[in-house]
Amino acid sequence: MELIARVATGDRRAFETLYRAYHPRLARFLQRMTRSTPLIEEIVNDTLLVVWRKAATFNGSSKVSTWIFAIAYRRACKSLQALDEPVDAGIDEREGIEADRPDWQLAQVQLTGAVHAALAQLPLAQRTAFQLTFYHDMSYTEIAEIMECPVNTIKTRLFHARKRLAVLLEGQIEVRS
Amino acid sequence: MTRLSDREAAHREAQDLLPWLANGRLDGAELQRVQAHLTTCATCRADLDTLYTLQDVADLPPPDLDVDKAFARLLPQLDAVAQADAAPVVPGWRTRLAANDARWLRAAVGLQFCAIVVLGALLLRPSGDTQMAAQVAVQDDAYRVLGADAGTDSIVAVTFKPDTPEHELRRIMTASGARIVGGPTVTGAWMLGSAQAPADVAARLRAESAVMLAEPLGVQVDP
Repeated sequence: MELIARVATGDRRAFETLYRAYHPRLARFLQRMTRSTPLIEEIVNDTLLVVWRKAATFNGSSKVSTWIFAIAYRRACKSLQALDEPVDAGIDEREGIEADRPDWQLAQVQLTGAVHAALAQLPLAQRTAFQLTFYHDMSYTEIAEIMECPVNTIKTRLFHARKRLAVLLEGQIEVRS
Repeated sequence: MTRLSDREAAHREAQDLLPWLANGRLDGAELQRVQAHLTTCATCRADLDTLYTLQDVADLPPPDLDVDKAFARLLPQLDAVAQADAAPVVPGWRTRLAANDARWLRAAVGLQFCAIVVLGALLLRPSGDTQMAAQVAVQDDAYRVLGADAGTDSIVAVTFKPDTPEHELRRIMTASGARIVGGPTVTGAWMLGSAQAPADVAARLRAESAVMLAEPLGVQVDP
């Protein structure tokens, strides 16, 4: 019996298994939307509480992971709006400020740091699409379902994200040969 | 010219799909077309290498969260959800019927207002029926003065001969289908009530030798 089906029957052991599987994935996904650890945990728990309550309504038309990530994305957007944080700019601005700090400039010598800083400067929608593609290995169809927009919009977001990253990381990426 | 356009279209498609070629989620005809285009497009090959490089950069480490504690914090909410789901539907309709529910209170007040308006209009517009009812009511008031009980019966005033025995009175009552509802008055009359028409009751009473007077007075109206 599939895990989500067991959760739908109220199987707490199954739910705990699912919780432990998705908690780190969702936390990793959400940390590019907010840097507040308590808020990340709150959104993760809210998301998985919805999964517990609504598991019986999951109809299998998408992957379970897509369904759960979509819930997390919606709740994160709502939480950020409720906090009156500009969803598309707030985190970018904070990251930008840190990028001006001397210690952050030192860290930028490492490619990883540079990429993370560049990603943080992307609008949230582009950043989310990029992250789901490269760090969660999702297809464009799954990302479109999560972000509730057409597939072509996802492709366009990725295209613009890449162009923006190319500018931000100019001269810092050593192409793998 | 057409061949160039096809190449541009293939290049555009490849540019759109390169991220999913890089993450291994491209398949089918799209995968074949992009791979075919890559063999002829150095720009797309370079872009794909860049994407591989970006992909090789590890994602941020997971935030410092304690899964056990987080799950422990969620557990009471699971119980709350389970209790809410197990709760019967009764509280729902009880809530809707609660006296402080403005939805049906508004409707009830509206209905009461309409009923008052209709009753008021009936009172202000006397008709033949209401006039008759008023007359009967006046008669009814007269009976009240005589001490008659309230009821919906026909009322007949009757006077018996003074020497009529009690058992004869009972027989006459039974035979006429009436019962004493009031009296005697200062003139010695009794008020008889009956479910039958007052004229019929009066006629049967008059046929009795012990009855000196029997007069139908109408129908007594409920107060």
